[in-house]
Amino acid sequence: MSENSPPEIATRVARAYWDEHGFCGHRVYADLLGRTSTSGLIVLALTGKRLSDEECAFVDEIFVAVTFADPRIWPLKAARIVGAYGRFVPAFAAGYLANDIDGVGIGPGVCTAVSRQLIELRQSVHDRVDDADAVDEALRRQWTPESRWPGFGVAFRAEDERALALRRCVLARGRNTGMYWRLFESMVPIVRRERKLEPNICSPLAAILLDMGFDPGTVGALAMISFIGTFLANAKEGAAEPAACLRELPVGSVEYVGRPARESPRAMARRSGG
Amino acid sequence: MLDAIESPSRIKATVIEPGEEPRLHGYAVESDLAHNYKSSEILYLALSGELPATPDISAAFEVTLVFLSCVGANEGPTHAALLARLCNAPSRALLEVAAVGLAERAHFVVEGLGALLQWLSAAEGPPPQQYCTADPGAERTVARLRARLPSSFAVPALAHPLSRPAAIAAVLHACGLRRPDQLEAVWTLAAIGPTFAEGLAAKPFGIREYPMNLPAFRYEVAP
Repeated sequence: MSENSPPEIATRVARAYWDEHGFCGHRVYADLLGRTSTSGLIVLALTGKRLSDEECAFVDEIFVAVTFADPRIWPLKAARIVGAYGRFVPAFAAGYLANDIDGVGIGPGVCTAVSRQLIELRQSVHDRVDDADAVDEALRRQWTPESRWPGFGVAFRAEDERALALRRCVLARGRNTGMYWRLFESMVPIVRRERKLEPNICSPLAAILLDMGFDPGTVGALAMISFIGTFLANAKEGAAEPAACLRELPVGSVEYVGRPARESPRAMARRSGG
Repeated sequence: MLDAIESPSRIKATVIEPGEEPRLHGYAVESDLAHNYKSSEILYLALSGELPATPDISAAFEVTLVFLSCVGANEGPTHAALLARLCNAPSRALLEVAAVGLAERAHFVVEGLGALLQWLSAAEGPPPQQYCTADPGAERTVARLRARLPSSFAVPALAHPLSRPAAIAAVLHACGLRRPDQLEAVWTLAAIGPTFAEGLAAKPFGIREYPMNLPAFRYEVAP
C-alpha cells in the first residue's frame, strides 16, 4: 500500500444501508428475520454458511451438551473473580481470554489443535477411517512421545460425560457416518488400549464440526462459542452478586514458595554507610 | 464431581509474598525497594527475578521503556482505546481495551523478532537481513537510542543498521531480558499509560469527528 492510495479492506461481514442491512451475503430483514435461529445466526457469523433447520437444531444440541458451568472450573473462576468488581462485560471477556488457548491447554480453544490433528491423521489413512490397523499405524507415527493430544485425557473422572452426551446426539441424528466421526470412533479403542486415555469433549466436537465442513480455525471459534452459556452465566452472576472474598482472599490463602527474604544491595550499602 | 477432588488449601505464589509489607522476589517493597529503587527497576526485578546488576543496565532498561512508551493513534491499541472512548466507555474499559490491544501488538512484534533473538544469543555474524533498514528515519531513531545509552554499556548489535524494534530488542537482550514473554511484557507495560491517556483524551460520543472510512471497508457479498 503506497502512502497516497487510501487503504481499503474487503469484508463479507456486513454493510449498513437505509431500510435494510447486509449480513454475510444476506438481507437481515428480508432473508434472515423470522427464518434464522440464534445458533443459525452464530454459525452464519462465524462461517458465512447458512444452516438448515436440522443443522441448527443439532448445533443447539451441541451448545447444551457441552454445558459444564461449575464456577470452580478455572476459566469460569477467572470470570467470577473479575466479575467480583461488579461488571459483566469485563468478567465475560476475562473468562474467554483465560480460555484463549494456542494449541494445548484447558478448554474448548484446543479444538483448533485437535481438528488439525484429525486432519493430519485422516490424510495418513485416506479413506481407511474404519480400518483399525491403518488408524493404529497412523497414530503411532503421528502421536510421538513429544506430541500432545489435547483431545484425549479426562480430568478427575473416568469418562467425559459431555462427550458421551454428544455421542448420543450424533447417533440419534444419524450423523455418525461422516469421515472424521468415523475416524474418531476408530481412534477411541486404540487410544484406550495403548494410552489408557478416554476422549474428552474436544475430540468428538472437533470431529463433528469437521464433518459439517468447517476448517480448524472455524472449529476452534465454534467450539469457543458453544461454551457461551457457561461463561455468560458465571460472568452475569459474578458481576450481579460480586463476592468480596473473590476480590481479596485472606493473606493466609497464599503459600509463598519464591525467593526467601533478602536485603537489596543499595539497602546494605546505606546500612553500612556506603 | 469436583467435591470429590483433593486439592490444596492455598494458592502457591512465587513472585509476591503478600502481607503487611509485601515482598517482591524476596525484597521488602516498602522499607527497601521504595527507599532505594526506581519504578523501572521494580519492573525489571518483577520480570527477571533480580534487581539490575549494574547502574548501566538500570539506565539502559529505563531508556527502552521511554522509547517504547508512545504508540500513536495510527496504531491498533491506541486506535481501539480511542474508539472505546467515542462509545463513552468508562476509563477502566479504556484501560482494558488498551491492555488487550497492547498485549496483542506486543506478541505480534516479538514473534516477528524470533530470528533476531536467536541471532542475538548466538552472537556471531551479521543480523538477519529482515531486521536491517536503510530508512533514514529509523536510522535517526536508532542513533538517538544509541546516544541515550550509558557510554560504558556495550550493545554490539547496535553497530549494525537495525530497525527500531530490532534495536530496542537488542538493548533489552543486553540488559538480560531475553525471553519472548519478558519482551512482550516490556513492550506492553511501557506504553499503557500514554495509550490510555490518548484514548481518554478523545471526546465521548464524538463519532462525527471520527474518520469512519479510515480504512474503508468494501462489502463483498458471498457468491
